[in-house]
Amino acid sequence: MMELFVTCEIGGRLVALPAKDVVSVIELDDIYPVPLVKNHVLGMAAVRSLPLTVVDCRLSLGLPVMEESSERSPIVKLGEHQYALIVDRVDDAIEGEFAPDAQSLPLGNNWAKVCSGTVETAHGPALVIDVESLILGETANAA
Amino acid sequence: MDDLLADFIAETREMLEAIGGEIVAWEADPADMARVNSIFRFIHTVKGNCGFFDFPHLARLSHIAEDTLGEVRAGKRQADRALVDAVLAAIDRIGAMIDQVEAGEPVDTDQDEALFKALRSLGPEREQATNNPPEALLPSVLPPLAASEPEAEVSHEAVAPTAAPLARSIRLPVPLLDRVMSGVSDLVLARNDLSRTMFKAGANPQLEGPFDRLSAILNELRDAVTKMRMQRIEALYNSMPRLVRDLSHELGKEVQIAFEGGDVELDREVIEMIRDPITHIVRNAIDHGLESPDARQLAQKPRAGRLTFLARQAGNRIILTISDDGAGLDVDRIARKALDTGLISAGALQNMTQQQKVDLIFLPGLSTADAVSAISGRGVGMDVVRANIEKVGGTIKVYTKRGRGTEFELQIPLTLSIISALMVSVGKMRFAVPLSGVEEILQCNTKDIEYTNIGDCLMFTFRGQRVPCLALGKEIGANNEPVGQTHKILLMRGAAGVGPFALAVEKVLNNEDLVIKPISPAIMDAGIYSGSSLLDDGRPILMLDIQALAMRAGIALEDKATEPNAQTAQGLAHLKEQEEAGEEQERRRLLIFTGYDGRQRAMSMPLIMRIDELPRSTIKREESGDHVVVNGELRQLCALPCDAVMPEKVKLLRLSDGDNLLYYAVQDLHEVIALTGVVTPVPDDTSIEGLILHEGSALPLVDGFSLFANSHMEAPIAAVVPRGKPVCKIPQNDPWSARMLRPLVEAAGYRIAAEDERAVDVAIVLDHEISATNEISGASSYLHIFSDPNEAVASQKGIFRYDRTRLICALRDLRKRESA
Repeated sequence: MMELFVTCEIGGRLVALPAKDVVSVIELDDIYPVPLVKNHVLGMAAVRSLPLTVVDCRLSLGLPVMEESSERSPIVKLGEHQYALIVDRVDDAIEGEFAPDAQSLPLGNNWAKVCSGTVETAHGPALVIDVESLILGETANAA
Repeated sequence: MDDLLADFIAETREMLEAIGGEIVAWEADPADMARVNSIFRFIHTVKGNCGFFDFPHLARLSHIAEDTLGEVRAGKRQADRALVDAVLAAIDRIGAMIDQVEAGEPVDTDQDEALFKALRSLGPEREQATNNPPEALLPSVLPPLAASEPEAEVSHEAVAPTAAPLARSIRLPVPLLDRVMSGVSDLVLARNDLSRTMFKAGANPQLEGPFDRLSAILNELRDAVTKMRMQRIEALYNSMPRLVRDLSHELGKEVQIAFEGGDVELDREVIEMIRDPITHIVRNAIDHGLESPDARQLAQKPRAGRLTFLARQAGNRIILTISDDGAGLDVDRIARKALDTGLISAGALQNMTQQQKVDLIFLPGLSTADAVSAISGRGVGMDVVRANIEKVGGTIKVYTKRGRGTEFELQIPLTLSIISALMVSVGKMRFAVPLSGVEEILQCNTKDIEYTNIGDCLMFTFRGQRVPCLALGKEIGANNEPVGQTHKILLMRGAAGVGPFALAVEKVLNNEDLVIKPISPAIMDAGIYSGSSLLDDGRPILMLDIQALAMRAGIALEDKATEPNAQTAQGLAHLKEQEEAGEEQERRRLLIFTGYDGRQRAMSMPLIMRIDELPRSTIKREESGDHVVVNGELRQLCALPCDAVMPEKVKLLRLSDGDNLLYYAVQDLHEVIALTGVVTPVPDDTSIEGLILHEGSALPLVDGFSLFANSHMEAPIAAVVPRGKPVCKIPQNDPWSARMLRPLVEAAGYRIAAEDERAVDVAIVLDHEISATNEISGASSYLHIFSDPNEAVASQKGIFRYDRTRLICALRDLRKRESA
């Protein structure tokens, strides 16, 4: 079955976010830092009078932060709350077939925890990200 | 059908509640036809509604009760005690049946025959049944009727066309209301966002008109939505007369009940949540507080005890006091009980102040009732009352005087959906602090503050109270700056598990009413935030969970009231300081403000009931004086110069001397200070009590006395220079006397006598206390004060309360006589 995905790059790797989780892709204005939260939670932002929690996906995966960050951020909704994800680059919206084969691959510890499978794209295979575990950042070290 | 049924249940309950007061009033005056009519209408409505559903028993009961009342209305019967009791019992049964209907239980029908008989037998067959004692109402006493008589078609008296006009209303589920409220607040945020975007895009006159219109509508809408949740506290008062009636009958006590401030509005939900705790307090007051009529007579009190409810608004909180004039709490017995049950240790008890012993009643497991009665002392103690009040963000305090009575003071937030918060900042970060937790805001360089380090903990001493001090910057890891001169200190109230503490922040920005929304788990994770909101400028702000912050920092000062066992040397010192602090509370608290003449002044805090912000249009300026329309009433307004330029919303201080209201216009409000020095009198200016020293400059302190005096009559100039210190006793527990008389008497050079001081030079007695004058046997002379000028004239020696000149002259004459 074909599904829609938003592809982007995190830490130089191609990933795909299930489109059903993505509300929109927007440019963030100011990010207001929030003390005492986990390292990968950069703070709060407001877009069109909606509060967002801003999460840096690189830090969430325990990867080094690249100098380049995309100006545009995918906004995902989890329960009642909306999150802005900071990634290297937002690519495209694609249609592809989800393959739940991630468990059989030696992806590396952090990736394995946030990934539910793969999808084939024009640029090769992309890891399909489980947004919830990415945001929880269980792999990230506490600040 | 289910909806209809739910409406029926809700409507009947609402009517039951509203009618409670009517019933008691009817009983007091059974000849009052207006009451009979409204009770009749209620029963008639219930009967009519039953027709839609299949509740034969309920229909029958209401039918019979209606007949009985119908006869009273027609003059065929007299409403005597037995009849009133029977009708009351019928109304109670209606309430009970409604509960069963709601719970889906079958309505039990077997116990009502006696009631039917009581209602009827007092009716047509009255002659045979007059000997039935009222106890006949008890179902067990009477054998059930063998067969119910076939019901005759009773003439259906049409409901009187004079039925009181009811405001049309509909019932809505609370979640829907919440959705509308949150929708409107989102709309406001979206509007603000649009306004910013428009501003960035540059001026476009074509858009401005429609936008302003949109804005105005939205503001109105927001006001209306806020009001939707509000209800007058009368809704709570209404159920009290019935409760008090039942309890006093049962306990053989006579109780008068008085209400004040019924027009104070608060959140419907809050009203419902405080209903149970208040009922409990009332039960206690009647059961344990008020003495029996005979005992009262022995104590030279009126036979009927008095229960007084007083509600007033102070900012975004409602202060509700429930006081009785009963025997007061037996502090020693409470202490003994706490000791016996092992709640506190003997050592701890020894070091307790009187007030702390009184506060022991809030301990779980403490009940002073020796015999468990049906009314109170059933294990639901004051600890539960306190917990319930605290659940809605309120506080409860108790004051008691042996032989004089007990007073419970409840402070309750106006609403649960909007939280008044103080914006504070650390570096570039801003946070909101719930205003309800903030006792006071202090400048760090205030002279009275002392700092000491105990280990790594910074302690902060102010007015004899030593509390730990947290630097917000350090707590959140933003910086490691020591608390310095530029910091502001928020003195935080203690709450469950956390003692009072001080929070140092870099800046206090302003206060705003915020609609708080839940925050994402990722942020909740930090453990010190309770919610978030968006400010008008579009930036998000987090609300600090003060209690969590304090606990995280390791502040868990043993709360004396909850854990009196944990008495340490430090706790002991703390106690002693609290003792001192208690004395310090005698110090006057003053609000600094800027008037419309641009000058800064100070106003005595106890005078200020609340601060209102009213639209300019409500202010009526006339040659004869300024007035303001508040809740449809015209009130005097002062301190507004002729050339004053007022903003759209005008800040007004609502002042009260206990009886009269007065509004005072202010341009800007500053801080609240405690008067440390003396008030230097300025003989030439009667509008001020004198000058006080504040931050190195002299500030005039507004004389509340002359304010109120001028609103009644011309007050001539009277200069007073204090000389000796004779002692004057003024009426206790009287707001006018505390707010008005005390400063005046002190200014006239008297020392105010302590409450139990007997040998005084002068005693001032209010008109309604004159009969009790002989109580104050030690005074060498008296002054009688009247609140009505005519009475004052009539009594020859009396003085009208706002006749400042005579009052001062009299005080001066007496002093001369004393010293001579």
